[in-house]
Amino acid sequence: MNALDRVNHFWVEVILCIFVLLLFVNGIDENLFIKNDVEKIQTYQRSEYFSKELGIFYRRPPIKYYLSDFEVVATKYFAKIRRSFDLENYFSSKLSYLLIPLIFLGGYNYLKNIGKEQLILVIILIFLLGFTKSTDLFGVSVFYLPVAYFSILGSLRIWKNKKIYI
Amino acid sequence: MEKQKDLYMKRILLLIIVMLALFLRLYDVGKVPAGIHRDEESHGYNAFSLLNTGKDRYGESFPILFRSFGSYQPPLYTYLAVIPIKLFGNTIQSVRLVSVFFGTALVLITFFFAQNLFKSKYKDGLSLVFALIIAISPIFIYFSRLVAEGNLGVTIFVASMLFFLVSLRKSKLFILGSFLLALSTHAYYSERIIAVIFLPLFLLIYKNYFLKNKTPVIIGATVFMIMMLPHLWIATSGALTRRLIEVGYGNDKIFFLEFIKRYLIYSSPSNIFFDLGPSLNRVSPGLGPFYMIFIAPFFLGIKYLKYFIDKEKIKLLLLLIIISPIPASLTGDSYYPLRALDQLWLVALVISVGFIGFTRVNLPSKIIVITLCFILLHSLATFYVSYFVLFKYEAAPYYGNAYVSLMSNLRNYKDSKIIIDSGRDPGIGLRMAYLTAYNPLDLQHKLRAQLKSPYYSGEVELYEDYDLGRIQIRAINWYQDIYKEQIIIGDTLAISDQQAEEHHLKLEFELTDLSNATKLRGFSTNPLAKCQSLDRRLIWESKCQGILY
Repeated sequence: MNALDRVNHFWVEVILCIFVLLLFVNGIDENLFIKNDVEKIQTYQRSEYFSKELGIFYRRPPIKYYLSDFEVVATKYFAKIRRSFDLENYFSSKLSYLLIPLIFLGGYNYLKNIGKEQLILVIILIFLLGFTKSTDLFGVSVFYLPVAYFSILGSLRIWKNKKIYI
Repeated sequence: MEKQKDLYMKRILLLIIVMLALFLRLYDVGKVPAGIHRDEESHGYNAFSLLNTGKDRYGESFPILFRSFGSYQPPLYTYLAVIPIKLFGNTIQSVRLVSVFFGTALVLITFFFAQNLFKSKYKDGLSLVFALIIAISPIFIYFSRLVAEGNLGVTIFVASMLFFLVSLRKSKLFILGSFLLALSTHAYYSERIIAVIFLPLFLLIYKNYFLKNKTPVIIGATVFMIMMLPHLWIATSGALTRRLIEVGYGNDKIFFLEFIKRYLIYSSPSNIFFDLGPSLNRVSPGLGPFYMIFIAPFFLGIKYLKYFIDKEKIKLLLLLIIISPIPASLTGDSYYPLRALDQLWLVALVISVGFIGFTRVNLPSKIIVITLCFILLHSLATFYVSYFVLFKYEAAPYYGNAYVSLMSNLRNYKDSKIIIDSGRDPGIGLRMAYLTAYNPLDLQHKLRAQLKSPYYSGEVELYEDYDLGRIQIRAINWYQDIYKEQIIIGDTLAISDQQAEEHHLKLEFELTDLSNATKLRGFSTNPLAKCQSLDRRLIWESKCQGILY
């Protein structure tokens, strides 16, 4: 086991948790729960399709309203989450393209070495981001933390005998 | 005894997975997607034409590439489609059956690939999970229910990878691997690029082994090159590169930067696990190529990849992971999953590793089984709602659903001349020709006459007029068509209410597609009323002389 495999990722998760909590200070994105006109029309159209296909299983009002409302919220929520997994956001400047091998290497190294439970925690944190307002500086800077961290890990992978404890 | 029981269980589970895959691909395949896309009807009619005349719809004998709607289609799908069209006739289902068959075969081939890839301790569980993920993933079901050359391409490509993998033990199978790899280049564009990059690099990585087994390599390489000759035959005509020019970056971009940007787009989990949105060639509403729930096992899979695969074999996998996004990255579209099917198959592999990695979590086995069953049921329910309900209706306009319904409506106008406007959809004419099994010799004669460039050329026209006897499919000519007694059919943009009133058109029928988005209207012309309404001076300039005098 080399020094890199012993990197303690615990503090990374702590920083991520604090970061996500900080994002919640800005409040929850209320737009998620408000339907605009286009969404209202779409919900109506889709309820017609469901009604045609599912028949009596769909006509019962509680299920109908639950499905249609839930679907709109879910669609908007997942569209927001999608940003966190978009690599283009992490490489917003052309210069950062030069760091791609380093970051991929660091990312792989990170995934290889953290525990399963930690990985699940990170994924849960990312999914929590979907509820936050993401148009502010905090939202954008979400991408900088992993880029910087993976770059360091990638560099360490290349000079793999250097020791670092974060 | 125990071993035999395990083997029996494995076979039963594999059979269940294959049957599930077949069911998901075959169920209502003629109705969802509702209608037929122009690329599908092109394969269908060309197969029908080949079956009856040995020539495609332009009268070209056994083409290397099929000229179609401004571009060229790889040939293998069309040649294979001859079989179901011979057996089941010119229906929407029959042309899609090739895809259904190869999409299901991919599940089986994937199983055998995994059996040879993973370490023996884990291979049975991993092979079954990998096959199951291919069976139920939206991307592989979606393209298996469509006439998609890429679906055929990925199946043959994976089959070739299976033989290359086994060739590391039995070198003779390298020949079969090379044959299939070359064959995949005739199935889809992506495989052309991957095959040319893959083969030399594969030999380079395993050079120590293959230097000891030169004969199969020499024979395999020769087979590969012979099978690539058809590409070379038309290399200078412009036809081979026509598609790449059509979908490339354009001249104003810096190639290197654009390539990296595209490579990132195709490697982004955002495009692999999330809904791409209506503007981004989405798979199905609310769904990405894979279920979003698969994102966790995907990351777990990256973590566990090297635990489950031997060091020697992981080199092959890494090579595939690096080169598989290249073809798609050479195109300028935002994200087009069909071009990245080989890469998405590898993503499925990583996901399956993640699922098996998940079973290593220190949780009671009951909870693990319940979680996995929940994921399976949740995935299938999500797919049903998204694909068989929302996609069926919302995608209907893109598959010309209203024009398929029109076919039965036209039976009420057997004695009338009919003009159908094709101003915005060049596929309407061929759709009619395919579904009515129109005489291929006659169509060949009419379409050949419209060619403005040699069959293999860099210049291919998108729009053509179709003259199917009493039915003509072309843009409406408002200076001529209204002065003849006939039925004119078009959507509300082609024939507005104002035009109908101005030209004394009488509404005969109205048709909508499933989503009510496309409204087709059929009008009968009234040349006499039109001419009588004209100004005396205009009568002499129009076609009215014969009608009024």
